[in-house]
Amino acid sequence: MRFSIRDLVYIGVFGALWGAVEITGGSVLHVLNVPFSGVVLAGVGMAIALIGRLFVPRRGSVLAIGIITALLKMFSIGGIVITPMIGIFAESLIAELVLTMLGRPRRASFLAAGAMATLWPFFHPFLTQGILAGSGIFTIYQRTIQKGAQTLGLPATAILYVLAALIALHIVIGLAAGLLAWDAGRVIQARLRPDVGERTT
Amino acid sequence: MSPAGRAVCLILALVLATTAPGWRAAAACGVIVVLAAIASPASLATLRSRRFWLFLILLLVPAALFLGGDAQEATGLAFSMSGLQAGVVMALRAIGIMVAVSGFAASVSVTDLGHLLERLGMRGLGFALGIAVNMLPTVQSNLTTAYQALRLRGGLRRPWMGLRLLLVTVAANSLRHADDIVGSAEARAFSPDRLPAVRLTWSAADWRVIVVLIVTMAAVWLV
Repeated sequence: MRFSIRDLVYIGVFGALWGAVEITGGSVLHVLNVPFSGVVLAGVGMAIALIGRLFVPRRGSVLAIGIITALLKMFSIGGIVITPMIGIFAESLIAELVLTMLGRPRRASFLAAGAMATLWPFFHPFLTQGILAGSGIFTIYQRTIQKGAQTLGLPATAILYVLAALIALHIVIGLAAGLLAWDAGRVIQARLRPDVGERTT
Repeated sequence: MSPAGRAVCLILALVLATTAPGWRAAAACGVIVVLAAIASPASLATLRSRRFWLFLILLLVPAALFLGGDAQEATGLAFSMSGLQAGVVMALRAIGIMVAVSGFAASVSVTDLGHLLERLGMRGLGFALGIAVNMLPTVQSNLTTAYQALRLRGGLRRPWMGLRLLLVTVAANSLRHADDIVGSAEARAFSPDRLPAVRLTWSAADWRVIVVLIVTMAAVWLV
């Protein structure tokens, strides 16, 4: 990763933006116990990081924005910091990989990066709780699902439909984040650099 | 302790906490908590967090109910002693990890972390982190002001459009501010490539803590 001064300042700014959303919005959503707050935050954060990619169109920029955000989260006041840090890092890494594989920034690559990155919050609890608590946690999940299905009188396969619906929800939020990033990013480009905006529209 | 020493100790503590088998996790957790209390007392603030204890309870209760084969039916629920023991081991591991991370976060400054990133080969990332830390209050204030203005003008009635407007406003304002920073950095001929390499220093305290962690690791794995 080799960035110019302008790139580094922009990375810092977009990292601060995502960090501000995580620190203020994240606290509010967790206090209010809003369902799916993790994927909503991931969606907004990913939209910011992808706009950052439009302004720093270099390999590694989304990952750098994610690293900055994760470090800001570490220094924010709050209880458990390690799990959101892992989440932010993983989301930016996934988005970076997708963008790198798909080449030049395009609407389709933004949609794909958003969808893949926001899928992470679905798997995040399994990984982080596995790290924190060890493999025993997976046995707990398995038994909880079995007992729950038994209590509700549902076949154990019903859980597959629930999981599919949850994955679809995460993907839809990610696609929306990618679309938002592409649209908003181009509007910002046109507003700040009229020459660039005219070229891309 | 030096920032580099703290970073190495964090890695060792994480390896120790995550790999200690069975009840040896108690020894690992104990050593980490004692070292953290000596090297960075602020790290123990994690243990005063109600959310953290709730998380531990959420580990213990399902483990007692769903783990282990010696389930005893009491009040309609299958309670297992071995499951509870497995839950305690998980909780101890979690305490070790949380205290180690909090200790690092509480004792290493942003500047030190920036120097560490630069030394690890991530050229310029320390500079970007410094920009982000300095910009954070401005960005937060921009975000709040734009959100309130949008809300008062009824801009949130259409959430998609509202979110788009909010993002455009906040990002555009922040980028204008960023252009000023770029201008002043360029006027001073600043370049991250020309920054003098910061030498990482090590203190005797670093080595003492590292040795204690390595000895504990060896004891936990081999004894």
